[in-house]
Amino acid sequence: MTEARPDLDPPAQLIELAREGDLDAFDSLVRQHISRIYALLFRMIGNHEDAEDLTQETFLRAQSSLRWFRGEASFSTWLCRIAVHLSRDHFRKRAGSERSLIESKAPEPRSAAEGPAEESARRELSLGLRASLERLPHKLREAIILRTQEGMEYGEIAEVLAISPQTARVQVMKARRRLEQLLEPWTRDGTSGAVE
Amino acid sequence: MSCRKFRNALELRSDDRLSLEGGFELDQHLADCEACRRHASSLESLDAALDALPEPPLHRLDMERSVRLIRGELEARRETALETGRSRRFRLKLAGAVAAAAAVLVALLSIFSSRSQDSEQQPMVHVEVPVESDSIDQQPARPPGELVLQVTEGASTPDPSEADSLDPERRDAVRAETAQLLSTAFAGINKSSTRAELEASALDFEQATLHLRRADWPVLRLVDRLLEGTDTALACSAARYLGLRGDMISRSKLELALSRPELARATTLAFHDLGLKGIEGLGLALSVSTERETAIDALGRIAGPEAALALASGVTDTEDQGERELLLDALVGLGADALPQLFTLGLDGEVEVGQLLVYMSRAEGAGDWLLAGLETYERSQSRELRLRCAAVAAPARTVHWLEQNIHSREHRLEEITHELLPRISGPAVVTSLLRLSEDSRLSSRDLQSMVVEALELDEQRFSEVATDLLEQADLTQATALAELMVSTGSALALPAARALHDSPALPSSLASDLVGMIADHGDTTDVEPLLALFERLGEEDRMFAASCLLALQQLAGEPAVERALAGAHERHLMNILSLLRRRTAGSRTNPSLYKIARELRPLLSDRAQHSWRTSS
Repeated sequence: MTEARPDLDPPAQLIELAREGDLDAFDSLVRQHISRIYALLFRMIGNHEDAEDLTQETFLRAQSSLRWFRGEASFSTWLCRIAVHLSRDHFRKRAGSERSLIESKAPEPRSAAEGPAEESARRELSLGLRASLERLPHKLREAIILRTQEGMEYGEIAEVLAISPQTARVQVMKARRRLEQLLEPWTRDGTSGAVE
Repeated sequence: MSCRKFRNALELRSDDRLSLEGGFELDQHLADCEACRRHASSLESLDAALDALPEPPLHRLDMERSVRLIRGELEARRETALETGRSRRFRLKLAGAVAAAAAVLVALLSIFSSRSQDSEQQPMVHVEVPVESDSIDQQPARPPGELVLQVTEGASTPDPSEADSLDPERRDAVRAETAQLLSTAFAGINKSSTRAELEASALDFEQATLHLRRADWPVLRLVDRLLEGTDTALACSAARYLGLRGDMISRSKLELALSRPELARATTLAFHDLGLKGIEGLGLALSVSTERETAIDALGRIAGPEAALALASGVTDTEDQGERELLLDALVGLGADALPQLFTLGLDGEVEVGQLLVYMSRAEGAGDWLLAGLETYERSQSRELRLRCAAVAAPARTVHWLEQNIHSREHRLEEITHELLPRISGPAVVTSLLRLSEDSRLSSRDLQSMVVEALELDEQRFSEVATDLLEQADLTQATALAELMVSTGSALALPAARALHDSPALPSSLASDLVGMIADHGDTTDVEPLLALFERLGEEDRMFAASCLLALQQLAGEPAVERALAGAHERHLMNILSLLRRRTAGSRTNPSLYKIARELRPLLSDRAQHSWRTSS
């Protein structure tokens, strides 16, 4: 599981300046948070191009909504909430199209210290997991990604998804169970399952 | 306690929320419960898969471009919003004009101020730098002194506060000396045509750096000025210097300098000078700079798995076909280090698979990777692809894999023999083929002819294969091959017998066959093989022993028979004699055999002769 990130929230003064329309201040906020938002969106969506577009859209949406930000959650969490909503919209729009996660660009080449068989198996499982993640209902998918990939605590997940921490726990648990079922063809006898 | 409770505990453990006591209790239960162990294993696989999901490719995120785009969009929206209200727009325009005028005024003031400061503080630097060559190792040597760094006598330091601690006279002397050292060092860098010369110039820089420190004139601050200055040639030299320094700060400065197109080449060369430490920078150069070819060349020279990763990332990122080929060529040039990346590119569909196979087959050790690729591709790719993968994959593993899959596919054996085997060399395939024949619809005779055809076996080749097998102590395979030849009456049975006659693992049953084969078709060169075979024939092989003796007698006369019998066990001899007697009794049709029998008798001991006489 990914380590929880330190709180990178900017000083309230910077947010205040940005709220008043100071574009330089907003640039600073973008620089401070863009990597995290991009990473979150990449994990949600699975390809670089869409994640990059939605990252920019997240900040544009944030700037126009900044006047509604009251600091109840951290600025970072607030941005994540916007990003998650945008990713949800993205999936809805894409639902009718043929494109799917599994067809999207595969991940970057990585340094392969293991052997070819292990690399092959890893790839198979990774593809299987991506396919399985896409089949999850969006609430479960978001919860499990925020928990296992973003390393968020349940309280933070609850804030991002606008649910209670207890509901966040239940959704992560449900997501695990569903994934376990969906991944069975890959985990039953090594990685012998086929990618559908 | 019920399994249900422990399954909940397993989920809690996956979520890092299980207490120590709960974990202990769970482990105890898992030790006894097979069903829960399976569930735990399944959850572990899920966790492993989640952990293995690829990290976001942050290096592909162009932060500055995104910031610019967001800023531009916000400004455009603001402009649009302004146009919605004339009076409001007017007020804002007025404010904007005032602000712009103020900004211009401030800028002008700052320029004047800056120029005034520069003329007082910045040393005057005059540089003539030749154009850099195209190749890293082919920079032409330049005449000494072509690059001249001059610091005007008596000039102030870039930051006066830094030099306050020195006596003015002493400070000027140190600066003059420093200027000379820097001049020499820069000249050295620009003259260098090889890596060794560059490294030698680094020593000059070290010397100069010491002096700069004594003058409270930090070298990196000087480098910053040079990099930011308008003198491109000097900035390039500074970049190369950073490459020679090789520390973390230098790398970050180089990454910044890379954004200036006129410094891209020098910066890329500097990353090359950094060696392994420069790979990340070269990856950046591949993404953003205009000097991609230089970066590719540099990565190819640095080599190693990290360079391979950077080149593979370049392949993924580029949309230019020519550049892609350059990247792939450089990647392939890295040999075995490139294999994991090529393999991954193949899985990603970044490279056309046929081309990829050609690339991979150039590297040593490609077989295992290709075979893994074969297993992966096999589900969705064509039969042709499978065969091409297998043809360059390691023969033993290929056949092993085919063995495992033989039941899942029709005509598998035909595929192997007709298309695959001609491309697989080595005897390791033989035993596997024989095992395959047991699972197939083919008769051993068909298989034998296919093996002979596929391995292009002739007498010479068979002997080589058998010798290879024997040298590898792979007697099972050698025997299996010979057995195939003998049992099918192949013309290669005799070479098989000749090749295998002294194999210690040769079973007596096969030895009998070989004896018969040699007896029927052999010549004088087969005496030694026959003698060796005779020694290993068991008591139950009396018939073949007799045939062997007969063959020896026919091929090389009685001395050969005597040699064979001299080493034989007495009981064995008796058995043979009994057989000979039975076969020759009452018949004179085989005088040679009769003669052998007669001549054998004196070789027997008294007790044996007595025993024989009694029995007869």
